[in-house]
Amino acid sequence: MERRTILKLVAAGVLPGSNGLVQIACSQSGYKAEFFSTSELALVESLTELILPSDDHSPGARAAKVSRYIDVMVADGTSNAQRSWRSGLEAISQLAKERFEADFADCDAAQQDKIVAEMARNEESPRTELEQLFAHLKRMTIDGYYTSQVGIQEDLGYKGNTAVDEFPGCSHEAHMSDSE
Amino acid sequence: MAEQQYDVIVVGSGPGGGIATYALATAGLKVALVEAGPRLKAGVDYNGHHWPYEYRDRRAPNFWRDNFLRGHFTPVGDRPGHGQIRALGGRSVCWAGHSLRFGPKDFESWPLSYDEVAPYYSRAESLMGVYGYRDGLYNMPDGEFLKPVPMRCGEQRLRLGVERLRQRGAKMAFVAQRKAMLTEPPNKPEWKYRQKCHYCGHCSGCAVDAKYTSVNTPIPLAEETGNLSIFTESVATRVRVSAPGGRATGIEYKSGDGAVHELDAKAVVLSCSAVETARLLLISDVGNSSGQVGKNLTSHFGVTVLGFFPQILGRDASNDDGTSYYHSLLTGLYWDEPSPNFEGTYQVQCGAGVTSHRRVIRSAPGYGRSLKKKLREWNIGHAGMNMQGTTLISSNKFVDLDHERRDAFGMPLPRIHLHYDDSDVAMAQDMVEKCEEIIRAGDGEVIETPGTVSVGDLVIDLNHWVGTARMGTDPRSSVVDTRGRSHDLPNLFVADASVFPQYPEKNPTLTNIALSWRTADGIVDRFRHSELG
Repeated sequence: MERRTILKLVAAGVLPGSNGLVQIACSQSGYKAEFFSTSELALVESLTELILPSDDHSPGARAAKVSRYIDVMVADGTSNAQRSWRSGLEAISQLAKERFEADFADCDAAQQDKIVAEMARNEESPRTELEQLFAHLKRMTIDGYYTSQVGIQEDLGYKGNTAVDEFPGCSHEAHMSDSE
Repeated sequence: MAEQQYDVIVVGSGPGGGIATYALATAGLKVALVEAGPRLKAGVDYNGHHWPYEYRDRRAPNFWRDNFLRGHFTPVGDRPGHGQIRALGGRSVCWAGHSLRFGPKDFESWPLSYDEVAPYYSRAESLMGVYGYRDGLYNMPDGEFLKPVPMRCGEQRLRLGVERLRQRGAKMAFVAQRKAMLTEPPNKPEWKYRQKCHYCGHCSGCAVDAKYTSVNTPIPLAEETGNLSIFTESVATRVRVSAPGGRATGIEYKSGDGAVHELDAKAVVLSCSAVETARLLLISDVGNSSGQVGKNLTSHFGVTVLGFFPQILGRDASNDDGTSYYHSLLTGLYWDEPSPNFEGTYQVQCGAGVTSHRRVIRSAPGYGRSLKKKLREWNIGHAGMNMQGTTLISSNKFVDLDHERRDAFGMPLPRIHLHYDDSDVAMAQDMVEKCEEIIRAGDGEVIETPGTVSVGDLVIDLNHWVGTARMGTDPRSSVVDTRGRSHDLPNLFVADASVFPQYPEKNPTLTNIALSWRTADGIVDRFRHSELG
């Protein structure tokens, strides 16, 4: 979707407006979401990046376009799952407004982190809608990231899935003996 | 009406049926091989060289996952599994290739000795092409090995842990795996349809036939003799018998269009796998005067423990694919001194390293930079330990027929009864504790473990069922004799792992192939002595 198209749609009242939209239009340029609205996709993208951020070792979930993977999987999923996602994302937006009187996208990094921390606090046995959404979101972010080129090649440094003449195995003295 | 008379009909083309067909056809007998599925071509019908991100749902085509017939049975009890590949070659097409000889100790509870089977192990290994180190373990004897494949970094840490425990008196061994894959050029005439392994790790659907399957070695070699007729997409529905207590006259089968056909032969060999061979015998109501068909069912089962070794993080992480995940094996446990807590023993298949197609670790607590770092380190620095123990043979485990549910050919589905015994849970608990101890002894950290094991943690190996037509010398308590011949019908044979009377911790296929070859040689002898016509 072209940036211009998005802005036009917003102007026509088709999509909810948000200050994050211009930034989103850039990072998602050329991608037409199958299930999420533009603002939902932007929110999912921000959340995935908070779960697996870019760091000095490798790019994060945003660069790996994990939100697109989630969009496709939710689009292909059950209507129940779709309802949970829609309603859960709405609940996050509400929470941002309640806590910080702003859209999630307009919250600063510390505020966004507070919201995610709240979602993540019962990871072992999620109960509330937000906690359950976090569990889904985290699982799919990890799945999407480590099945992407960025995750496999850049983050994990994997160089396989190819033909080699011999398998070298471990020949590191330090791995095999008491010396370290 | 029968279409043509054969010397022998072999039903099923997996590891047992494939080798039986080869031995019979090369001895000059006219063989009809009847297989429920089609003939597939490696590298065409299945090919592992994909990246997940090439696909919408990130699931690269996986031959095993996509073609496995998983629902073709009725489960009863503790989550039994059962799978089939309906294709020429059966599960030899998708097996992992692990080829471990049963040892002299294992055969003590069999009506056969290790020395009687050993020549067939050698013949099987030479034909299949099995790689391995010569480890000198008395109860997992060395064989005819090709150039071995070494362990990875994480596995070396486990080996170090085992060595340290051994120095403190622990009885166990940690060795590299032995698999039926060509690590050397295919320089034997028997390997003309195969290629050398290129260590891509997609072994369950090997695209270049480096891994031994029935379809790339024994079946095409049998075809070359001109003595073999192959009936694919033909589902055997019944063993035909001349009269009660008489002889097998052949089989009935249905083709894909549902049409019923008959084949006549002087001898019938069933090689349909433990569940399906029992099912066909029960449906046909033959060979079961002992009442043992479907009984004595056992498989391998286990749990998984993961360790993390920070010592290996700095390695040149790269290409750990090899011959798929498990390159090493914890073995030698309870061979000499049985545990007071459970019967039998287990081995632990171990692996390590980063792969694109088997992402081992994808859960760690939290989010953000710490999560990302942890997942990266755990994936690069982990080693996985997957228990393979033998379930206790008991009245809690058996196969019978489900007369309520029939398949597309009108045949009752098999029903698999699995209720774990206390011994099984105790064995898994022992394994968990042992694996945790080894990881710590290798200076690692346990990152995933069931801790205290309950039945809900146990995972059955849905490919390793054996025992449903067990061999024995007493017709009252066993289904076949030591040459796989029915005690009831003199020309009905079983050539698959159904005949195992006891089951060690070791993988079944090599022994299935060795025994089925021996059974086929017995059939050839009987033809030579005019006992079978």
